[in-house]
Amino acid sequence: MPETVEKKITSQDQWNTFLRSWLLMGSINLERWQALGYCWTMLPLFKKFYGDNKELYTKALKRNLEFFNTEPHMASIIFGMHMAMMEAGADIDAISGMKVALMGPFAGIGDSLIWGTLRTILEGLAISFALQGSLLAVPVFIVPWAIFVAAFMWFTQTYTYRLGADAVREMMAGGLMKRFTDYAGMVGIAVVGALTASFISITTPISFTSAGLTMKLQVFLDAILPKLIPLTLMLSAFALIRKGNSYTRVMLILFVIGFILGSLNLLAV
Amino acid sequence: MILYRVDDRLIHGQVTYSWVTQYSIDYLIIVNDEFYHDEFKKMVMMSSGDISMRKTKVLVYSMEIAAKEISSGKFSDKNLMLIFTNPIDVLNYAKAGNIKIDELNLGDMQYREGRKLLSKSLSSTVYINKDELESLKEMKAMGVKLFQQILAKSEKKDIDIEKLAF
Repeated sequence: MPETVEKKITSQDQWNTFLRSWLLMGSINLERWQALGYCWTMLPLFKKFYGDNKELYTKALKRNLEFFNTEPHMASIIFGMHMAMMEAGADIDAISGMKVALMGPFAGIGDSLIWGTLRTILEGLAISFALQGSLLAVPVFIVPWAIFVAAFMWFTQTYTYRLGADAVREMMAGGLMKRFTDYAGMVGIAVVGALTASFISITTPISFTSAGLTMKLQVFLDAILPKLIPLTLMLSAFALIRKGNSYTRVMLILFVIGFILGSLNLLAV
Repeated sequence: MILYRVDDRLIHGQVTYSWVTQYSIDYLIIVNDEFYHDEFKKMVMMSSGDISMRKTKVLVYSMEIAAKEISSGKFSDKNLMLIFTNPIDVLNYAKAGNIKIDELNLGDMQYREGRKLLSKSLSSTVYINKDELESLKEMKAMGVKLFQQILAKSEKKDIDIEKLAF
């Protein structure tokens, strides 16, 4: 066997890492969070790259069992980086430094991209089905979610492995991630708007009578902007949440206002 | 207004979101020599701020530069949050710039070899080692109030450093 065989990451390695990475949170504890899942995901590659050097192998295992926590889908970028760095022969300490630097910011980005945006969009879609009593609400959420996250994880992992630090640079400072997040956010907002307009049916029964002519306020409001009242309520609730009120309190406020204005016949459904 | 926080992971999702929105932070300043001198790490920190926050900017300073910038009064009319990875850095920063710190939030310090548990709350822990404890004692003597609060709305827990001994 040749002395200097350069070890390479194969596409089989990529696939195995991708599959294993789904269990990143397979066993967490509040002291080290995803460390075990991370180490287990990379374990076959540690064996491959450090297996014949007991000292290095031990060091890799120890260092990769240290505290690690980030948004699980963004972790694929870190796995990609890790593989690129291992192949390039980087120091184990340097790799750990990379992990520590990236995990915090990625947690923030991932939370808003996946849980704040993707989930909101799919929930909006699913809710519209659920409100009509259709069981399709379930696959309408699960299927696009699974497809999106699988694609996201696979492509970020391989893209980052191929381009290494340049990939991260391109995504972060280069603005790729920001554009992606912004566009996704726009879709998310459109969904929220559509949900509000489709499913909140609050109107006002107020009408004025003057010189024998009865004018309904609702007709007037509809001429300005259809669904103006639901929009106003939705934006007010949003403003309250932004100010720091809890969801429960906002629901209570809406309930009280609805009850009062409803009993005074100023609002109707 | 300046908020001071010690957090192993510097910036991370829930923490920055809750603090930044609650106190309308204009600048999130990472004070860490290692991150300041590493181009890659610095780039990641600063651009992550761009991506996940609308109006808040992320800056990365070394301890010296942070001490200089803050004491120069450049940010006097802005809301700042300074994040350090450990209290020793905070002490050095305060000394270097002759800056008075009212209170320090030991938000999240993870277990590391050599560290002992100082304070524990529902979703965060504060582990410190001997040198970090010394720096905390020194800061307490300077009049800095120590507490632990992970999110802006979480319970603010006072920290009693007398309880821990090495």
